[in-house]
Amino acid sequence: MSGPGDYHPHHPHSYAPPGLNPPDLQGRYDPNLALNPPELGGGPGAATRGKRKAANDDEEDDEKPATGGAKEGKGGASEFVKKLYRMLEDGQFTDIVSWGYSGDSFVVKDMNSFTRSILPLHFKHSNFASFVRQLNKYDFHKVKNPEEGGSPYGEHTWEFKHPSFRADMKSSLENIKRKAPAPRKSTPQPARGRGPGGAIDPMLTGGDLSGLQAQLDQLHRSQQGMQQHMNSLSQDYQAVIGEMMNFQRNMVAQDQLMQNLIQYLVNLEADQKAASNPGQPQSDFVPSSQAQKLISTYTEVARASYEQMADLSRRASLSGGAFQPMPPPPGFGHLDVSRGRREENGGGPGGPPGYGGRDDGYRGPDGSHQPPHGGPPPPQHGGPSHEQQQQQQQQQPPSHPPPQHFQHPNAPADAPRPDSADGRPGAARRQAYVPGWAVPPRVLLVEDDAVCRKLSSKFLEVFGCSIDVAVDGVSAVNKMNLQKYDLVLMDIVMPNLDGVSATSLIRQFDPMTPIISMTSNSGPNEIMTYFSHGMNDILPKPFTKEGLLGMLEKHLIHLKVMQQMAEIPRALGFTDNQIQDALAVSTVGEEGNVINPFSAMGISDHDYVEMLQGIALEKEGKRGLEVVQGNEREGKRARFQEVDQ
Amino acid sequence: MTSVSSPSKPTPATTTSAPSSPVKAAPATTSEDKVEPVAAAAPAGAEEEVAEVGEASTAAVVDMDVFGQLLEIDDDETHEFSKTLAFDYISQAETTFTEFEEALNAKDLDSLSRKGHFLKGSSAALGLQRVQHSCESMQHFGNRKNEHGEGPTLSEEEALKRCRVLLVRLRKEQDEAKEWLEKFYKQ
Repeated sequence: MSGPGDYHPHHPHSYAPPGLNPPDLQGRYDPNLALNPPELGGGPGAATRGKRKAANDDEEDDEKPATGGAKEGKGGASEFVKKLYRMLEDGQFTDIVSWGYSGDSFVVKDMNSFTRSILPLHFKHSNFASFVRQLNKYDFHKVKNPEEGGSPYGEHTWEFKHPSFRADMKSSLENIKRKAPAPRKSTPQPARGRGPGGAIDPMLTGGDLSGLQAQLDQLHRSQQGMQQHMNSLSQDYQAVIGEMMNFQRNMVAQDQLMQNLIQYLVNLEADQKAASNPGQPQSDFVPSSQAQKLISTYTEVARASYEQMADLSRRASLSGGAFQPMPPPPGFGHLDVSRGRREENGGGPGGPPGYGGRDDGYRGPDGSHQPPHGGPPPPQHGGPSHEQQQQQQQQQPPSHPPPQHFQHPNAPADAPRPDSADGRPGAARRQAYVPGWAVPPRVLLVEDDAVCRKLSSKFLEVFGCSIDVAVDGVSAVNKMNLQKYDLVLMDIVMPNLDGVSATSLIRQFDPMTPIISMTSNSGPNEIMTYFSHGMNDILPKPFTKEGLLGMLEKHLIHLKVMQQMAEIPRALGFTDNQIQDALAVSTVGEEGNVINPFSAMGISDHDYVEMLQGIALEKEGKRGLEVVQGNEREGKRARFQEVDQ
Repeated sequence: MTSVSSPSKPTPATTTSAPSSPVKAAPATTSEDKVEPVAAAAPAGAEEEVAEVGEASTAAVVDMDVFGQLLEIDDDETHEFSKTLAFDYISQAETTFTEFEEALNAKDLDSLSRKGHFLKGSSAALGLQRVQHSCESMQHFGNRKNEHGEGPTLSEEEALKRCRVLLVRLRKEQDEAKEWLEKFYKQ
């Protein structure tokens, strides 16, 4: 009479215990047990209704133990069993319900009283059938008596038994488990879509579990898929950055080349002019309109490409959050011929010097402000008048630093020299040493020894520098604070403040200006100290003319008028350090951990950083590209592997 | 490159013919070549302590490679610049020697080292290599090291003693250098 079919009318949505499905209900009745709740004596309709109600109660009742049981997991017995045990332990109603004689079963002696008073007390319902169903679920068995009515506890008693449910063994309660439901025919259940945060149904059957498992796997797979996607995205991103840097680097090189070309042409033009009328001293050389056009075009192009690059870097920093914009390479887009000195060190650490600011110093092409060769006389155009002027200059007492307009007119060695008729041995001898500066480099000489100071000043003067002197570290720091210099020559052992400490102080507000240590103590340890305090180079004392000149040319290369076409120095672009710094920042996350998008592919963090540095350090863009591509290949391989799993 | 012999001007050799014949060693770089025992080598006075303060430089009084550079940057034959420089050096060295004496009396090794370093710089700038050499030793003794700046730390007495002995030699070398310079610029 109570076939499983009776429960089919219960559609899940009618009482909607999440995840509960009609097939689950089937499993809860064991027809063999033939548990017959007493209410079932009514008409079939009433019985059905009653069962419905019972099922309802049952399920609602189940919710609490279920969640409790789920939480307790393996540790404790299920709530229902514990309640049952407590009820019997209570011993208050031994005439209604009690342990059996042997303690391995329990007996409900008065079903009506039990239903009326005890069930509500302990189980919050008064439905005996529901209680029996619960027992059934937990695999309690009704003890059948050999002959009808022969129960040792009297008529109409119910004796239930479970191998682990014993009066003397409370600990074995946890062995009492809800029976596994009959294997569910797997039909795709929309209810399965619940998120992991939802309550897990207490009626979990094997089918449910495997369904969840499948779902979990599916989620896992889709998460893996997303991970893959992320990886490939960040890989692409890194590749783009790598390429961008290659572009930027190549651009700087091209820029340099262009600059050299134009300078070469301008110089050529100047030489031709000079050669055509050697007797006629010209105060200023103004490039022909063609050259001016070239220069202005060049400037525009350089500016445009620089701005584009800056924009790219900015966007990268917005999206990546960590990619620092490249500071504009010094001299980028500028012809050195007319650069004002002040702009040289204009860029503080706070930010790259604005292009606009630099631009002010260079309005050459329109001719109205400052033609490229306007301000200082062109070095390659050395008229006799200049030579004489210079001679006068040098006859002055050396204690007077040469004024601003001091300009050595000597040209690079290959330039024709109309003034060579001068023929003075002193001039001829000196000529070989002097580089052609676009503007006289401003050098701060820090030296406490008067003799050395005088001598060094003289050398610098001969090399076409304008000189300022400081006699100790304190005055050097003060002077650096007030003015900009292109180069500092710093003695180490000095009264008041030594050169190393002075450099440390200067570096706090001026990170750029090259500071060269002049010292007779140049052991490895000392050199390390100098460098670690912010000095850029070492000029061992006593230095020679060549040593000093080499230093000047090395660090003031941007002030030189003409370089050899063969050697396009990279130094004019951004330096490796800048790139590495930018990369270091871009790869190091907020927690200081390296964010390695390739970690899933078996590339260690270390390798990753090395790879990035490899991109940065490669001098030829081609190699850098290969690095990127190589990694992409690797990434693809790895991706296939993971998907195949 | 830094040719000592400039065609336009008389070389020091021809003009001076100094007693210590300093120019003889000039072309043979700065290295201390012992093959050429220059006349009137320094360590004559305090014989028994010579070993302690190290060998005196046997190189020429003046390193002509360095000094030649000075002459080169002179604008004309009067050598006005280098001459001023040389006499600046001489007076500066005098001051330094006074300070040496004071520091020695005050047993101030640090000061001796500093002054040694100081005079080393300026003498080196003029190519006065003997003075330079001894000044370097003075700098090391002041730091209680041996004349090469190495070895175990010297006791204060030992260091002071070495400084005292060395100062005698240094004085002598400085006088030679002064004499050489004065002769050179006398013309």
